[in-house]
Amino acid sequence: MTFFGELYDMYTPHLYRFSRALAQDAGDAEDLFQETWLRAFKAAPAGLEAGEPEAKAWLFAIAANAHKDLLRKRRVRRLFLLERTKAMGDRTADADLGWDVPGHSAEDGAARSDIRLCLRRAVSRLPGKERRVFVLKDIEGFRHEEIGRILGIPETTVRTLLHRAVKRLREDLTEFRPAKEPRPVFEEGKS
Amino acid sequence: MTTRLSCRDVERMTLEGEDRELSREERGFVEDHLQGCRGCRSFAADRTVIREELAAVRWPPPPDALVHRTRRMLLESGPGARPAAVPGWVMVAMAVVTIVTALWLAVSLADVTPDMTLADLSFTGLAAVLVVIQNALMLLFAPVVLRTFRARRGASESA
Repeated sequence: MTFFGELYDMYTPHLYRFSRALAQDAGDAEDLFQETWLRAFKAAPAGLEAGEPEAKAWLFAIAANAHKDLLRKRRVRRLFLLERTKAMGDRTADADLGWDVPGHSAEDGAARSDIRLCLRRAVSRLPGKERRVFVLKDIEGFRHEEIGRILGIPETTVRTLLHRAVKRLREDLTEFRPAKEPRPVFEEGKS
Repeated sequence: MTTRLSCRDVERMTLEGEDRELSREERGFVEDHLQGCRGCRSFAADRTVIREELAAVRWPPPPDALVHRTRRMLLESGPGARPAAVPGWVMVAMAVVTIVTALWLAVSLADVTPDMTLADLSFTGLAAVLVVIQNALMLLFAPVVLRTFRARRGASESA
């Protein structure tokens, strides 16, 4: 377990953050985290070095597949529990954010907390594929090409899914949009 | 590329600009469009808010109990520690039991109609209904029970 131990120490925080961002609650995140490591342990390819970028992409690909399977199982369970599960999911997301922003005043902090709560809910409501693409891009910082490789989809599909995800998130954040004209993003001299 | 871009194109190009540096021409098209399109300006501003909020998030570190539990689980699932494969005869026996149970359920529930109450059922019919309920409960709650078991095990290990 020498190589794997190194891999484990190096990527545990990354994988846990990814699991927290993808899963509905802390319990699901822990399941996803453990399942990913178990699958990785069984399938570790020979010659892979812990520090290589490929190792990180390989681990995230396993986590994305494990998340897909988790959602599939949840769909089967939801067939039996119907709306009850959905309502519970919303409550759980509210109670178990795990999103914390330091360094804001109480007033500002409350407003930002509302946005984050809404954002958290909106992310957890995204369809599985869009959620995986969005989290890989916005939270893990992968490039479109890398996301395509991780999820096994073309880069154009990554762009389409990301666009859809952002549009959905915007709909949920409507109430926080300022009434005044938004400031331009493409300012002079900004790439 | 035509000089007239649709809002969809501009939105996608705004996202594309996060991944690579847009060419001078592309930036020109986008800026021209943004000047005259309130909707796309709003999209770009919302996108900035989303990115800023996510960038400011402080994610919780993995709980120590989880990290230790997972490490131990991996060590236990190493090549020398894997449980022996289930013998073939056990698989065959399980398949036989499953088929016999399914047949028994089919026969026992053949006469049951939706308008019947539990009191109308024969003993065999009632037993079959109980078996169905028991299996459904097992299917639904086994993951919850397993999760609780794992959490308790992790808590006792970290204590």
